[in-house]
Amino acid sequence: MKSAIVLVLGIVSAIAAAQSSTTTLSANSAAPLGDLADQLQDMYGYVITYEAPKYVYAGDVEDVTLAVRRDLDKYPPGKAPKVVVPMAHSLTIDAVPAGHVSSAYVAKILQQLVQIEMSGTVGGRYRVEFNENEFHIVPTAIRDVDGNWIEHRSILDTPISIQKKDRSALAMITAICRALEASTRQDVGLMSVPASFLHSVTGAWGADHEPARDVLTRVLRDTGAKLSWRVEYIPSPSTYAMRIAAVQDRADSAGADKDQQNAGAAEHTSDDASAPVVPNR
Amino acid sequence: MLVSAGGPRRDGNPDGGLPQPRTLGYAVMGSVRRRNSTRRAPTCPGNLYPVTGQYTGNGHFSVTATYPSGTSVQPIGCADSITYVGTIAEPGCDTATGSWSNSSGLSGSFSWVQACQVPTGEANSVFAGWDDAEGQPTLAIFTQYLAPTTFDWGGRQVSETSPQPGEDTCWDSTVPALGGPKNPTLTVTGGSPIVMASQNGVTTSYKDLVGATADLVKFYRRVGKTPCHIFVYQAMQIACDTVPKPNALQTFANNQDDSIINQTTVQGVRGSVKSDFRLWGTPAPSVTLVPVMSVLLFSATLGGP
Repeated sequence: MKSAIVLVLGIVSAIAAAQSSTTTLSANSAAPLGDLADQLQDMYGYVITYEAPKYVYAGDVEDVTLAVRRDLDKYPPGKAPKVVVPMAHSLTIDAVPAGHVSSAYVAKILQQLVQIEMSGTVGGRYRVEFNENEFHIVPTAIRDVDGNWIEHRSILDTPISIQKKDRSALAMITAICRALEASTRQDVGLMSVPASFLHSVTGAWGADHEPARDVLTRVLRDTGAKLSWRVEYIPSPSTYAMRIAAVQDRADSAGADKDQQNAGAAEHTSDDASAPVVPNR
Repeated sequence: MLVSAGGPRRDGNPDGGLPQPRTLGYAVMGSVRRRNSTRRAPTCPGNLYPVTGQYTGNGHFSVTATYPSGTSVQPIGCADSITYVGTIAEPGCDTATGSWSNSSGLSGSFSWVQACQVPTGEANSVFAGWDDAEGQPTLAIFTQYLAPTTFDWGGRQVSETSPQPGEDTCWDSTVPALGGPKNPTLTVTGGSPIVMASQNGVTTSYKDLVGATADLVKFYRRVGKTPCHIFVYQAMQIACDTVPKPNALQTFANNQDDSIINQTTVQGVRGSVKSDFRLWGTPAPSVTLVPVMSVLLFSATLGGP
């Protein structure tokens, strides 16, 4: 009997220990998936990029004109240009606290994250790509105007061409946005960027009908810095908004497991086939 | 040992300044005396050995100290000369390691450490124009130097950080493009450190781009946020290797930077230096609608019955 009690207590304490070894991350916003990706990026020091889909379904967006605009007095009632953003919703996930984690773990937690997002009633569907200790959350499907799921390609899948020449990284990233605009006839804004640093890095960059994501990845890696991006979509005024940010190294986790670069991808393709972690090109 | 003015550089420029001979001479003398005290003679008088040598680039240097001829009788047991070949470590340039050999056939390794040199601030900061060349016409370029400007800071790494959050009156948490619940514009954007360059021992200026990107200015105007501004605290830091602690970043200047976005103009402010107000872009639609509608109404009036 005594040993049984000890066993039960042991199990209880083990569960408690397991529970205390994770921290709950949550976000309630127009882009909670991107926000949680940012949080995980900050916690673990891995580059985790996020690309939003171009929402068209009314249930995926909301009109925030009255809350956002400060110039409503300059328009007749109801005539101010609309500001429409993705529908706010919340996401929550448990993850181990900041510190040493493997890339395989990050792949797993990101896969869980996109699964949670996809189980909701709002938002898109995504895949997670993994390459050289970098993770990319990429949209794969949205609901059309009638609410039916349709395949969707991220704007960064768009092939772009840019004349190769010596230029700064800042000029090249700006050129990527302009090339995307030319290819898609869609506003693509570079909203935030470590400008002084990227101004100081130069290289001979160009693109020859390559996916914008590959071009952007190449430029950011060539800078030698650990940089990540996030691409949002604003339905009105219809704009893709790109932000580039530095990722802080975490001494206890960065580059923790280069030997798992491929293992991380392979290991997590089987559990949840609907959101596979796939090696990037 | 590498103290004094003109620390050698690691930026590959062979014209980088060597340490002052007097200071290094003392270092060389000490080493010679120490070696000989155990191998050849009990003491070696504290004469200064004049030093010649050169910085060969990429942090490498070679110097030879030779006992001065004709000044005094060379003590027995003191080597005629000693040569140091070594490398200065980045990014702090406050350590150097290498090997030495003297004319007596002795050799060994050395490791020199000095207190990290930290700028006393920034000097000669000016607004240098707008970043049109990179397609960012709303970013104000400021140039400045590390102070004192007489010191060769080549090869040193300078970075920025925010000691505290700033204020962004343009931001709206409901618009994810503006940063979602985590506002990215309350801090400097950072990135990797900038490596200082120098020519002929004179450190060149470094640039800092302040402002909202052209796309962000355009977006803020389109969603009716302007006029507004983004204010950040900026601490300029320089990397040191060993002193006061390994891999420490030492703050040498604090600035308050502001990006002002008006309906038709922008301005960048870095510390006490301001750009001019630049007329750029188109204002929010409402501003243009009014005169257009006025013209239409006026035309309609003129053309009416």
